[in-house]
Amino acid sequence: MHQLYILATGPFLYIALVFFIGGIIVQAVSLIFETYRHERFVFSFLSFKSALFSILHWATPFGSRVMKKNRLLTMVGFIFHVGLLIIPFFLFAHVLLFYEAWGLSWPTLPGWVSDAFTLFVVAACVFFLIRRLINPEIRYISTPTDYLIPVLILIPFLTGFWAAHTLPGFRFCHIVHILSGETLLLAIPFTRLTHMLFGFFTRVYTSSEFGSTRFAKDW
Amino acid sequence: MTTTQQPATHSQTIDEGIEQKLSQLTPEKIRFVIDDVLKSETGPRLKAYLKTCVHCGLCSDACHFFLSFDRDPHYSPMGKVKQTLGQFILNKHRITADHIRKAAIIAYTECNMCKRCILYCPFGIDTAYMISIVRRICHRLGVTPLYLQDTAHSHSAFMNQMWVKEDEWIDTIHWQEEDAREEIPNLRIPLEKQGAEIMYSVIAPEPRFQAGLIYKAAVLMSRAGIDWTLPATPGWDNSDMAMYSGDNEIMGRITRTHFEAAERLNVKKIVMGECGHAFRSVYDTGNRWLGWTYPPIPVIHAIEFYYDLLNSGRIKIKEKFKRPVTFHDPCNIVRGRGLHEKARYIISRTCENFIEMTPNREHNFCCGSGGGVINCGPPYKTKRMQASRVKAEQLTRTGAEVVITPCHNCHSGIEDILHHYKIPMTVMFMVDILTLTMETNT
Repeated sequence: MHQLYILATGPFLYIALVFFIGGIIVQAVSLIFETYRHERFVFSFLSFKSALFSILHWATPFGSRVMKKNRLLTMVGFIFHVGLLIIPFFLFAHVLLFYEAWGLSWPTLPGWVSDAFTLFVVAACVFFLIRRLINPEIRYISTPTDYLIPVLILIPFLTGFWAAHTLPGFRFCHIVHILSGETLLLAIPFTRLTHMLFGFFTRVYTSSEFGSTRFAKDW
Repeated sequence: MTTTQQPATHSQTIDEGIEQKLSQLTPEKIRFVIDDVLKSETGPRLKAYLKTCVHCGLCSDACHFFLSFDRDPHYSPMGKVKQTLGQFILNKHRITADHIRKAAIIAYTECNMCKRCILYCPFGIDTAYMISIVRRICHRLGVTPLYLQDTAHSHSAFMNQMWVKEDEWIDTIHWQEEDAREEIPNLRIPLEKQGAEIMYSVIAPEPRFQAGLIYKAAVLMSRAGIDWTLPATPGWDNSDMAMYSGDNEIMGRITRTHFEAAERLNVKKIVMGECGHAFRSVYDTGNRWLGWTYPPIPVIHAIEFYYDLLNSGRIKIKEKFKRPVTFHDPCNIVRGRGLHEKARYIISRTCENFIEMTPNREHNFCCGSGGGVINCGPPYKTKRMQASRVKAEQLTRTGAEVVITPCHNCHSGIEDILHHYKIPMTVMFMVDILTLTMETNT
């Protein structure tokens, strides 16, 4: 088990980081390059102002009609995404790792806040899975990976919580936490998790078309 | 399980235009066309849409088909993409004629390409664009609904939607001029006037069976003292059903002919009659196919024109329209051009009792006829009426007596809905209201 730990925190970590960061950069650059080559007209419609307005609307809870109509999903979705983004970077134990590795440090979240967010992310993953299963129109368009992704997110958060609170079997959970976290990083550029990147591109294009050519709101 | 069943409507429809060509399709031909369209006619935009969609299902609630068919997953926007483009991409090598039949019926008759679902997608994924790719593939395979294809043929042969011959067009104009001179003795409908300020263009159903609209436009122009003209040659028709059948080549020819007529007449701008899809063609799709970011000659929709006339005081309102009215926002000029506030300004100036529909403006429900769906003809009318249930409910809720809509497709579609659901309302164009309420001695 010790050897697995060495592997997980050494080579595996680097592989995951290289594929995650490299994958994101390659995807972004190739999308822009391909657009320039094949659909250059897209650039002539881009509008910074329209894109900014639209993104601000969609980044505000209940800022769009669809969010007002789906209140529960909006609340769960927002807190889930916030948790997903802040926990990896502002959890005390994680910042400690950054400090030990590179001597960098920044403010961290109080323990109860990070605990709450972590448990919320876990609950949200279960919520998304249930929603996908019980809603006929969502089940109809779902593919196997759509069910896998919430599980991929759930595991590192749940095992992280387990390990941090030294619950029974925490050593094992710690290794699972590291490995599943790396798997998640690896998965981002190659699954629908790329919406983290492509979501901005599609939003910017659509909102530019709507805001500056069609003069209509897109929220 | 609902996921494997097909809605009954898929198998009930028999459309010769679709059936005839299907028997001649080979798997090789299908594969070639799908590959070619996906490779040479689409690009990173489609790729980004497909990669970004997280299958959250939020777009479902935007679609009147989905809502009217009791939330049947087959009719949700992404459900329709899954059954058509999704199949084409995932099972590229196993697509049969049956798949193509199903895809054609979904793409041509179960999506109005009204773009309401874009507003419900957190990533702004353009589902209508994906459906238009399916239509393009079907068109290139020759599998198109008979009635829709007939209008595309008419465009190709006569450069108008309704097989109107050149002399018939000129004759109709003279006839309307003659009629209108009984109301305004010195009224002219100037054909071919070089250097006029405005070229007015209409869609072919106007001379074919709604000639009164040309009469009303002439009265409006005459009262407002506008220097206007109509071309006597092809180019007078701004409609474009080829855009909806997937025939982009003819779409480009139509748009070019329209602009060339304006260029030849040396006008400052084009004013279009109250039609939505035609506006989409000249402002959004046709011009881009020809390589113009924006139209080469300014084009304004009737709503914008009426707004300017009222705002500048060129026409004055004598007495407001009394009956309670509501307004249906057409997709192509509201989600396509943001003219909803201008339309409301015109109504506030001309009507006494205006009742807002809910939802309205960008979020208004589609009339169920746009996107070429009404042009697919009688075989699909029952389904179109079933799909308009939410629209019928929305109209009934207003309690208005008159519904105003500045779009021919919406007009015909809503007329059908009112008849089918027995709603005691009448549909009117904005020009109907204006000619009824404006001062006659200006």
